Amino acid sequence: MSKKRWLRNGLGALAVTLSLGAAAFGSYSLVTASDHVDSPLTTGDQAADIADVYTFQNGSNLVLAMTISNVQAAPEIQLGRSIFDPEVLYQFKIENDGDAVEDLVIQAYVTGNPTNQVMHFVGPVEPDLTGTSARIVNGPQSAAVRVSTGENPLVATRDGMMVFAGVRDDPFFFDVGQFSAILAGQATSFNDPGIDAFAGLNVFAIVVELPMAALGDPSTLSVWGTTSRP
Amino acid sequence: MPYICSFKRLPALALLALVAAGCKGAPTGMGFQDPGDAADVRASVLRNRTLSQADRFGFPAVTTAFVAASADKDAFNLAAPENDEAVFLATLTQTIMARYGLDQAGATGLADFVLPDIQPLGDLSGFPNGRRLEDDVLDTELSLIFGVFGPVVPALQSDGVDGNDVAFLGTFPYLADPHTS
Repeated sequence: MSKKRWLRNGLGALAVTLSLGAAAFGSYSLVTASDHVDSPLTTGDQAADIADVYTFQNGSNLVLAMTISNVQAAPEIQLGRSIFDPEVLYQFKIENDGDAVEDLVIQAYVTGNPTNQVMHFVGPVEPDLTGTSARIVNGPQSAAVRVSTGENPLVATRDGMMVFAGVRDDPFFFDVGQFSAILAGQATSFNDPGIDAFAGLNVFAIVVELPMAALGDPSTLSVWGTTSRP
Repeated sequence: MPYICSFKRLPALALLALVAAGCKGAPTGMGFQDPGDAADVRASVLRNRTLSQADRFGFPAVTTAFVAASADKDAFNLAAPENDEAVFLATLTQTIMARYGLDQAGATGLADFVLPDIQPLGDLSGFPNGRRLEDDVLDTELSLIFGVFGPVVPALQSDGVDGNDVAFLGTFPYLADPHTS
C-alpha cells in the first residue's frame, strides 16, 4: 500500500469537524516493494510513478535522488530481475530565476535488454521544451551506468558527474499503521515510538552527484522531478 | 556494434582483458564510463519524440495531503509548476480547510507555502531547505498542519518514526543496499 494513498485517505480524517468511516481507508499489506502511488493514473503506471525526490549536499557537490515504484504491474522488486521501463524519461528539473520554469534539466533513460540495462544521462543542459512536454536533448552524452539489480551498487563517473540507477532500500519512513488506526477511529494520536511501515522495502532509485557550480548558487535554485512518456 | 563491455559483472582480470581487447569506454568503479556505443544510445525508443509528463514530484506529500479528489490528483500530477498558484491555490485551500479544520487564513497560508510544488534548495541545511535522506519530512508537514498554520494538536505532530530502518551509506549512492529477503 502506498504511503501516498493512505496519506490521501488518512490525513483527510483528522479534521475536527469530519467523521470518517473505516471504509474510507481500507486495508493495506506490506509488500517487498514500496508502492508509492498518489493518483489514479499513476496507480496503473508504477514505472512512471515517482515515490520521492531528495536534494542534499556533499561538500561542494549537490546530490539529486529520485525513487520510483516499479516497472512491473506486480509490486515486487526482485533482485536480479526487475527493470526500469525504457519508455519513461526521468528528469531532474532545475530553475534558477524564481519563475518555476525549468532552466536546466538532467535527463535519464534506459536502453538494453532486460537483463543488461544501461541508464544514460544527459545534462545538466538547457531543455528543448519546458512544461509538460519534453524531448531528449541531442548532443554529447553525460555519464552512463549499468543498472544495478543486486545488492552491490554499480556507479560511474564522467566529467565530475557520478551516477547510479538501480535497486535500493526505500529511504522513506512513516507509521502508516497508526495513521490507519487514527482514520478508523481506533486511535486519536500517534505512538512513541511508532512503527515504520516502509522498513524492509525496496525501491528503484536514480542518483546523481555533481558540482554545485554546474547548476549555480543553490540559494537561487529549486528542483523537482518528472517522468514522461511518448 | 554489439555491446560487449558489461553484460555480466566480471572478475576484475576478465574486465581488464575486455578493456585491453578494445572494449569501448574505461570502466570506473563497478559501472562503466562513457560506453560511447552509438548504436546502444540510438536504441532508445524515446529519441526524437515529444514526450508528455506522466508524474511530477517537488515537495513531499503535496498531492496526498492537500489535493482531495482523484481527478484533481491526476490533473495536478500532469501539470507543470509554473501555473500552480494560479491553477491550484484555491482548490488546495479548500481541501485544507475541509480536511484539517483550518480557517481560511491558515489554509491559504499553508497552500501558498507548498505552491509552486518545487523544492527550494536554500542553504541545504535540511527540509524545507532541500531534502536530505534522513529528514523527517512527515513530522515537519504534520507540524505545519497542526502547529503552524492550524490549531495546535500535539498528538498529531509526529508519527514517532524518526528515521529509516537501515543506515544510509556514507558515500555515493547514499541510499542503503536493497533487502534480499
